[in-house]
Amino acid sequence: MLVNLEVQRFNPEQDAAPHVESFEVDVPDGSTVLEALMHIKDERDGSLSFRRSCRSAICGSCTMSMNGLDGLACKTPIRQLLSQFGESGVADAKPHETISSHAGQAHFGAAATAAPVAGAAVPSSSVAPKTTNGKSVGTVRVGPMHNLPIVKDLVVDMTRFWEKNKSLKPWLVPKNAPPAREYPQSPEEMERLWRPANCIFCGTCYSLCPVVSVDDTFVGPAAIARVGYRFLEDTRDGARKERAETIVEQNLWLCAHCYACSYCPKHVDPHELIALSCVATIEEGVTDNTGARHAMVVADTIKKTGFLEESQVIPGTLGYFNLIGLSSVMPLGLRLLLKGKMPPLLMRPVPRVTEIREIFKAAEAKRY
Amino acid sequence: MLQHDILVVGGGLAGMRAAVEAAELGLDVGMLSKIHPVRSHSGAAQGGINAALGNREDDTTDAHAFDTVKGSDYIGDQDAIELFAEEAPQAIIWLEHMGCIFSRMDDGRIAQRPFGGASFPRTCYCADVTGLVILHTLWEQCQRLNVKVYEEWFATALSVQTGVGSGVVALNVTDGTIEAIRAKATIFATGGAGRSFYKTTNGLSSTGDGMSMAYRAGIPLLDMEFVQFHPTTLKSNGVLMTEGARGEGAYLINALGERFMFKYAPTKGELASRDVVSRAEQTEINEGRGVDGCVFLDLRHLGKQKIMERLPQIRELALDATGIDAIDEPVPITPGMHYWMGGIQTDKHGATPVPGVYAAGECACVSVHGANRLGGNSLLETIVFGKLSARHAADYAARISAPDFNANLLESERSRIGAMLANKGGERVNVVRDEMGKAMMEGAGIYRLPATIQVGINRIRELKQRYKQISLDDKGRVFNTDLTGALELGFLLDVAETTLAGALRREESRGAHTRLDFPDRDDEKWMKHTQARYRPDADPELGDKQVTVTKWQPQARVY
Ligand SMILES: Cc1cc2nc3c(=O)[nH]c(=O)nc-3n(C[C@H](O)[C@H](O)[C@H](O)COP(=O)(O)OP(=O)(O)OC[C@H]3O[C@@H](n4cnc5c(N)ncnc54)[C@H](O)[C@@H]3O)c2cc1C
Ligand code: SF4
Ligand code: SF4
Ligand code: FES
Repeated sequence: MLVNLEVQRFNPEQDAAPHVESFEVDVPDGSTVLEALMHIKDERDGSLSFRRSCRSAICGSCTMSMNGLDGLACKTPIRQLLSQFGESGVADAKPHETISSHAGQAHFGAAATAAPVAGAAVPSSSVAPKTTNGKSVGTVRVGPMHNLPIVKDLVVDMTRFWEKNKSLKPWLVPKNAPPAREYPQSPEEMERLWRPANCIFCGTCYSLCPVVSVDDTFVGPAAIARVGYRFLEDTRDGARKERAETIVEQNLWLCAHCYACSYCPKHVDPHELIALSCVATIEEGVTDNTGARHAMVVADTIKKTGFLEESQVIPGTLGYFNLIGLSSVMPLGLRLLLKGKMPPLLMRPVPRVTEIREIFKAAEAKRY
Repeated sequence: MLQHDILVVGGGLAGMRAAVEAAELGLDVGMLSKIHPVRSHSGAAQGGINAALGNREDDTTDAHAFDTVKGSDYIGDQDAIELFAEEAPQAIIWLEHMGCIFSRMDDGRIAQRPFGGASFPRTCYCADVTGLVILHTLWEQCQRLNVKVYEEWFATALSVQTGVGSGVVALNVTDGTIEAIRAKATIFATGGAGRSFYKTTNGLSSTGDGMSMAYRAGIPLLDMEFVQFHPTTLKSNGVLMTEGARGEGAYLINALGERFMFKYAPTKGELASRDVVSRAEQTEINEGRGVDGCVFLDLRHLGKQKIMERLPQIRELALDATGIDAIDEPVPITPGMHYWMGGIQTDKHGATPVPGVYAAGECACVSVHGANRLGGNSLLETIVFGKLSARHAADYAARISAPDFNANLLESERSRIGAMLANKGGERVNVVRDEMGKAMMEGAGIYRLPATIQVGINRIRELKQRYKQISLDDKGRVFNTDLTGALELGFLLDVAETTLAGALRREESRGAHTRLDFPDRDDEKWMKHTQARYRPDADPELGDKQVTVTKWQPQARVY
């Protein structure tokens, strides 16, 4: 099948900025994006640079952006990509496109480097496809993953990604002295570690995360799911409290729960594990922070009355004795009051509020 | 000059296990890896790792050793195999204590599944991502111990000065600089060489680098002709379907829907050892009972729940590659090149004949696998001999003062690579690479004949000449994977040459080496290892090395 690949190129030894180069290639039907790139490298341009190793979605090397959607090139068949996005090669369904295309520009703070950052809008060069005969099945636009600086072409510098993983202490801190044999662990206890165990550190989630793109202090979805949650939930680990504190310091609660990272090629679904990590930190009593207070006050007011009591949420989140914080929201309160929009200070419970409390009870009893 | 007490070349399971041991012993250790350690091909291992824990049945280390000897078709070294089997349970317990995730039995102990050629359910696993969880555990330990990692550094040559190993020359892939790294002891852990075949279960980084570097520096390669073909691989892309599938009870069926394995292995059926099963499949296919060059792996009777719980990865890999859902339909599979039994000659402590140079993992030939490796023994080899080689390297490093780096090596490597970058108008890397891959498929496949082996040898000789003229598109320094691909091809050509030479010389059929003109094992003449030594600009020099027998005399091998 004939396919048109528009590949973002950048060679720091030659180029001032990334540009796009088109290749029309003939690859076997059923080929993945990686196979098409390998074909280009072999037959057309050996200087095209990308990482790859296992070609079976287990080493995590080949993460890139394909038609605006980030993922593993070796797990992305070209036909599937085109049927998802139409022949134009432009995403019809936009959610990931919007997330990823704005991501990663100029938000690196201290981590910023001179190298261009993946995701910056790049001009398309006028290089014509090298062959033009036949009818192509469509266009695949390939670029580097986002939120990390580009090294060359599709290769990014993952240093920050690894640093963030390491910041959460990715190793077991044994609870008990090692027995002569294995630490016992039930199949159910092991089962809880199964989802994060499937993470291959590919960085797709990190690349998709809008919070990472605007705030480099956010540790990011892979670290929370694969390192944070995985050790918080390991019955053999003895540092749960300390881990809860560390993960909160690394800004666990900055997650905006946007679900972008649920698009994980290995079905880890970091977002869900992030939510469960939040619960774990509260269980460990690490509650003296805005994130935990906010979550708790929201839950409390709903439990109490069946309503989200907005008048309680702000002081509850900031802290009832946080005078500086509270005075900073005073003007807002006053304006609300003047416009007659102040939420009621006291609310009467909805009828049958006990049923709502039952729902909470059931939800709280359920562990992953 | 960069330097360490111990330099580990390779960041897969063997390399990281060695680095962790050396760091635990308090040595200054550096670990070099051409790809990030967690990207290493060990992560692709699916089925499991063997140890006679006896959690399910009364297994013994002696039974493990015997199964391994029998699997090796009596050409594994029995002293090494006994040590290997004895070290196994503790190796697994150590991994578990480090936090490795294992599938469990109801009573909380590590679960074990049956595997080919094993007399008890001995294979510990984590569903079908065993390699990944062990690789990650070791990476975690490397971080805990702050092991110095040269990430994306590509070793190009081994330094040997006055007969003593003293480090490597390596290319920093990110910026293109070429440096010498001096070390008292160097441990190769560079993995297999599957990419010398056109189609393989191995990833694109399994290119025999360490084997070739050691060989060029004068260390013999052992038993290179023994190449394992795995019975269940996908035809389109060579991707593996773990033996764990058959361990969990999957069937092999032919086009007529028959479970054919009992014709070939009356007792063990699908769980005979790999050489036996692969040959059986090829025979079925050759005799017209296949479909499109394939037979079928049938998981349907296991049911959705068991498949999703124990074999989810392979179900998805098959679904992605073929569109077939193993829950509902048998998956077409074919034998595929999988594992390198031969490699850098070492003793049972991982030491090569050159002082200061060690090897562990798939690049080494200890030899515990002999002519045929049992499933689950290779991951074990990386853990056991990774550790032992580091221990012995540490003892050695404590005894000696820092050796001299080979005075000319850095300059000669710089100019060799410089010339490669400068060359214009030659052939492309992929042309030579693909011809090599096809020559190996023909010459060193499941069934071998002297005429086709010879064709392969001639072709590789010719390709080695053509290789000298190849030219690259990428002339730059930064992340030049055109260059690393060319260097890898150079390594692979050495591997291919020694493999074919060994295959032509060994006039018998043993384990994975099947000569149609010599269909039987010949213990009288061939119960010995093949040793290949490098000669610059000439064919390898072949010789013999004795097999160590402790208590198991060769018997007929039936399953
Ligand atoms: C698909 C598949 C499934 C398998 N399943 C099983 C199983 O279930 N059970 C089992 O026992 N075995 C299994 N095996 C075999 C087993 O996985 C391998 O033999 C083993 O993992 C090899 O480990 P290693 O550490 O020796 O090499 P690798 O994991 O391949 O690591 C090699 C390392 O060396 C580095 N390296 C290589 N060359 C250079 C260089 N020039 N410079 C610097 N660094 C270099 C690489 O970066 C890498 O880090 C499987 C193999 C495959 C392919
Ligand atoms: S959680 Fe998923 S997307 Fe994120 S790094 Fe792990 S495997 Fe990749
Ligand atoms: S759910 Fe949270 S971690 Fe995931 S992408 Fe959105 S903000 Fe980032
Ligand atoms: S090449 Fe390994 S995940 Fe794609």
